[in-house]
Amino acid sequence: MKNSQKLYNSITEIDDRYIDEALNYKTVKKRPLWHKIGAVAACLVIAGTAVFTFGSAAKPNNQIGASVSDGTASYDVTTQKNYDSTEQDRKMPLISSIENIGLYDGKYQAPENGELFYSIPLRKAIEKYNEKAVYKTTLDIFSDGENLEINSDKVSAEIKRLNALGYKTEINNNQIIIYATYKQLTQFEKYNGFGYFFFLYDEWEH
Amino acid sequence: MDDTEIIALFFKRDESAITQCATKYGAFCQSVALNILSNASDAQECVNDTYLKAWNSIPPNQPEKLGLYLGRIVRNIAINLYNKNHRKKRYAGIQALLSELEECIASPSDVESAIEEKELTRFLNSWLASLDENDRVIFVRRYWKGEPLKEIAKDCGEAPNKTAKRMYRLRLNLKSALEKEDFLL
Repeated sequence: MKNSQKLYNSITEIDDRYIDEALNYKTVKKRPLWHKIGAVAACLVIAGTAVFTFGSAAKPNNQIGASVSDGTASYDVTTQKNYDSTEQDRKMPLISSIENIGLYDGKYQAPENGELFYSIPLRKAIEKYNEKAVYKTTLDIFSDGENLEINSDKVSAEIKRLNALGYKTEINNNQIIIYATYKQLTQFEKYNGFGYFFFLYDEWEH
Repeated sequence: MDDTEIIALFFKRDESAITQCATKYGAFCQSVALNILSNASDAQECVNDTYLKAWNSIPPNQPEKLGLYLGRIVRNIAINLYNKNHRKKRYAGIQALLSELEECIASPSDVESAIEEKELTRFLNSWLASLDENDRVIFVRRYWKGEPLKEIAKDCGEAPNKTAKRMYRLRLNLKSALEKEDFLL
């Protein structure tokens, strides 16, 4: 028997209170109606803009380092409402997800100090849209292979450094969100004491 | 009907106990089996076997929480059915779950064969106790009940990518805790 299966089997008999707790756990976190209406309206407006902005998909022209194997590519762009950006950025669609590129379950290798990884969906999006889009991403920051807590001093200092370099950041839902241009992602100014992992913000929606 | 009344029916050997179990816990048992087997008819077969096993074991057993009691039975039956049929490679559900858990524990050759599942369960109980409630809940929902990540994320009110990342960190945490307790050699 595989050890993973032994571990899986042993979970059957865990204490009642943990099973009970999990099965009865409820979190209510509903967004107000105006938020949904606003999001739908923004999607409609920006989707329309995207249709006029892109006649055809851009070809990849840059080598992006990724950590794991590839998937099949056939994807659509999800655009969302814009953010506090420059006039030039506002002309470009905001990419936060791509569709139908296969199943990824988050089994990425943690970056070592000085390493920068992109999730596969983000890499696909960058290859397709390169300079012609802004990317809504989430960033995990690592130190010596450990994912740093978002409220740690190290992460706060790093976010300040990124802001000073012109990166537009936002903390939401315990995630570091970065609105980055192609150049900002592909020529990311790393601090060698950290490892970095970028994901597309909504990549798990598909 | 509450659990105490259903269990009383079992003790009276009243077969309506089975109907009441099916009404109250049928969907739950079906989802546990289906998450493991990814096959609706096999899952239903497991659920039927679960009622039979409950009928044969209550009494003497008198579970405090009937849902959990049935859940464990159906999980074990589904795992046994998987083991019986896994060479046919019919089931995708458990394969994905096992693949994720492989990150946490080494290959058989690296682990003492004497480690028993009971020891692992005891260890898991103390490891789960060390987690905060949210992390514990998502781990148990994923690996005890086998729920899809998206469903867990939705109920937790967070983005699926965030839940996936939390799950990844939990597996790393579990791996590290297993190593500290010499489950890996």
